[in-house]
Amino acid sequence: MLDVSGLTVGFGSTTALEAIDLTVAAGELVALSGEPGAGKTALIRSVAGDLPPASGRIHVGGQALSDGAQAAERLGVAVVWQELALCDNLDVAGNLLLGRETRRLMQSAGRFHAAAAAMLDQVGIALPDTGALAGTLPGGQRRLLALAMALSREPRLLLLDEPTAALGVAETRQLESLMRRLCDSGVAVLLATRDIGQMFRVADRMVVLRKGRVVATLDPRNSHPDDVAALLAGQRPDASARQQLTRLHGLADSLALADPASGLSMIVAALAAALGVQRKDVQIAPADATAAGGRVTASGGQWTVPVMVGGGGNAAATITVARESAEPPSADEMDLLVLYAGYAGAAIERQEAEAAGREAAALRRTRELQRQFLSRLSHELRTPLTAIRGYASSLATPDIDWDEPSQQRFLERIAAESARLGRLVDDLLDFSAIESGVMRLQRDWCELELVVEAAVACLPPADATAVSVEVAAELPPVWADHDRLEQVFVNLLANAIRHNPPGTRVRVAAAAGEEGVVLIAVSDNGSGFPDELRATPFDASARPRARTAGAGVGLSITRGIVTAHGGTIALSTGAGGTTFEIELPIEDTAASSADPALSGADHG
Amino acid sequence: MAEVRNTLALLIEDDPNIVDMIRSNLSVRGFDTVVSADGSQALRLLETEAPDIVLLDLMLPETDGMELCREIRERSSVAVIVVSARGGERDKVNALNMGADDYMTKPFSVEELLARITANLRRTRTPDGVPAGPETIIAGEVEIDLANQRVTRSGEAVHLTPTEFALLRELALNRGKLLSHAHLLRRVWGPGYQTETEYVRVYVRRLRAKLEDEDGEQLILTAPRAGYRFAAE
Repeated sequence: MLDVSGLTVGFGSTTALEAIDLTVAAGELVALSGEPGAGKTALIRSVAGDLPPASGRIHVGGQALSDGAQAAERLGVAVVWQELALCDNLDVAGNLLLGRETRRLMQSAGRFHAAAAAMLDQVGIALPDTGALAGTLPGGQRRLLALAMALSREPRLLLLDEPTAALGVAETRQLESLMRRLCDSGVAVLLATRDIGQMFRVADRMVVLRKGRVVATLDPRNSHPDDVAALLAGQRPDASARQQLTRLHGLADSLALADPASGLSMIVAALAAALGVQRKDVQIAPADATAAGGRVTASGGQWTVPVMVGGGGNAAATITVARESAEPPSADEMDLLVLYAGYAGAAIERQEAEAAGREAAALRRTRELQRQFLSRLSHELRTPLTAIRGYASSLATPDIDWDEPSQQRFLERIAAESARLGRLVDDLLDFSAIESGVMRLQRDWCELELVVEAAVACLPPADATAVSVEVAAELPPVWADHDRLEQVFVNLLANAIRHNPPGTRVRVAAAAGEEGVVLIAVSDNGSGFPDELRATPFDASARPRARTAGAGVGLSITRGIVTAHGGTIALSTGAGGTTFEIELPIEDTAASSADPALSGADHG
Repeated sequence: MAEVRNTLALLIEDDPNIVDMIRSNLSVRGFDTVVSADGSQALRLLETEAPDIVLLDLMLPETDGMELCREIRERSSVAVIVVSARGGERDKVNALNMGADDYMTKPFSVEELLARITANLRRTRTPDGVPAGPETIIAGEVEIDLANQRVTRSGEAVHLTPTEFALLRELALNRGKLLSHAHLLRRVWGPGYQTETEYVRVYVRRLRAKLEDEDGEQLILTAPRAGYRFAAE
């Protein structure tokens, strides 16, 4: 729509514009920016036909612009001047219709104002009162009125000279949206403005004028306001500084989202990019004592910057940058190193906080398990005690004469519960002996077949029939504590019967393993070991409250005894039923060389 | 003529010896007993048998005793004595917060068991005849109908357990007077409870939650370390 080429304009001896090339297409909004005196108004005036060019040419809609404002107007150029050309002593309608008054309109005030309102409506500008004097209108409405007057000529090219100077935010936004609407309807707009933000809000292109010359044409989508500000002030826009800034902003954003563990490597990568070196040339390592309290140091082609954490004066880590040359860092590079070291310090702090949180959670979990274990233990000990005390106090109550069978039953149960309590106490003593590593073994040469038979004999007769024993012929005796090994088998057999449905078969198989080792498997065809306990089958504190009596320490004791013999026990994960596999050294060399009663408890 | 039946105790306990011991002592004194070792059966028995008192062992296999206590309280005003192997203050307060009327630590003697059962039954049973004193007490939006054991707040019925009502009655009948913890424990819970200070604290909190607005006027005033006072007229 507008095509300016080689335009040079002078006022007297000064040159206002020099060799300006400028185009504005239909529907395009080109912002013209520059310091006062840069030539914005001179260019607008030239295009408006108000200032004759010394050389060069101006085409509007393909037609050359000859001298004179009226010639420009004929080509479809309309202008809203910074100094508004309004008649303050006429009302809104009077200004709008100035020079177009017909006799018909003048005869009726109603018709006159209706025509003005229709004009406003057509250009899409709302002015509430067409009867208000232009001189009394607020600034924003005066601009709108001037714009309406310009638009009423249905221009193809609209020139706006700082239209929002001295307007408030809301009025500025209103005018800006009007400008965009005009462009969208196909009008070419040339907007002279000093508001950099406004250019970025509305312009399709930005032309920067300085001292009468076009110094840059920018696309707002690929530019930064800082660049425009630099150009206006006559400086080269410093793209590298802005890239650094952009990189830092990006880093800050990704650090906020990233897992703390990956933060440091992101920082190192960003620093490498910022310094323009290879990723591998930047290293971060825990600080040694020599790095304490230092600043950036450079020696032999290596820069070192300490990473400080918290308020202390000691570095938690150092970042080193390997350089090809031995040059010390420039002031900018120094700043970058310190800045990125600051980021690294914050990242380390975050990592440490995270780790501390995990530790605290693990500790809470352990405490909770211990609390549950003690709670269950308390229940297991107090339950038989409650029966004993309850029965005993029942017998002692003076107001009741219990009959003979009741007395007998009470006494029997007191005896049975006392025995149960005794076993529990034994278990707990064993457990604590194992836990504290002081289990004592009375070793002798033991025939495994006899040990297992003794264990089966401890079971109630009905349970004993469910157990089958297969011991390989000529299995050598083992150097072990007979009673403790018997306890291992009693525990495993009793568990297999107690935790499985009636009719479950239990099998004990013993055979020689590798040299010097006996393998024993205790397996059943029952319902299988509970999934939730599989991870830590021997851990007493991980036990939930079971329906069956017991402190839940049986398997812990079992493992403790096997371990004390220098053997291992494992829950095998075969399908169906439960199998415990025990590996027992025939002669525990570590223990037998010393005191036979030595404990070898090694528990996790 | 209403059906006359023995006092019925619901025993929620999984240890057969403790069940036998308690049942023997209750039946010889004219109680009937129903027993359950698991939560859902206990809730069914609560409904079908309508027991007069519940003895609840907190540590049951596959049942969260505290949760069961809360569910019982949700369904019924029956006296609940919680039996637990844990004697800590916090466990006691937790159980009372879940709606227990009383808390007994294992092991216990038969005398203690019977004394607690008697005290809880006395409190939760409607007293015979009309008690002396006024029939209704009005305090702000709260109206206490002593004769019919009913409480309304802004005209709407408020559900109180017998223990809660007994405490409110004691406070309201002595309006404006400072009542010590020991006095309230003796009068509401019975002789032998004087040292169970946390019982009063928990139950006053329960009453406040049901009868007072958070930022409204207080109905029950605390005299720190001394006791409580019902707001004067």
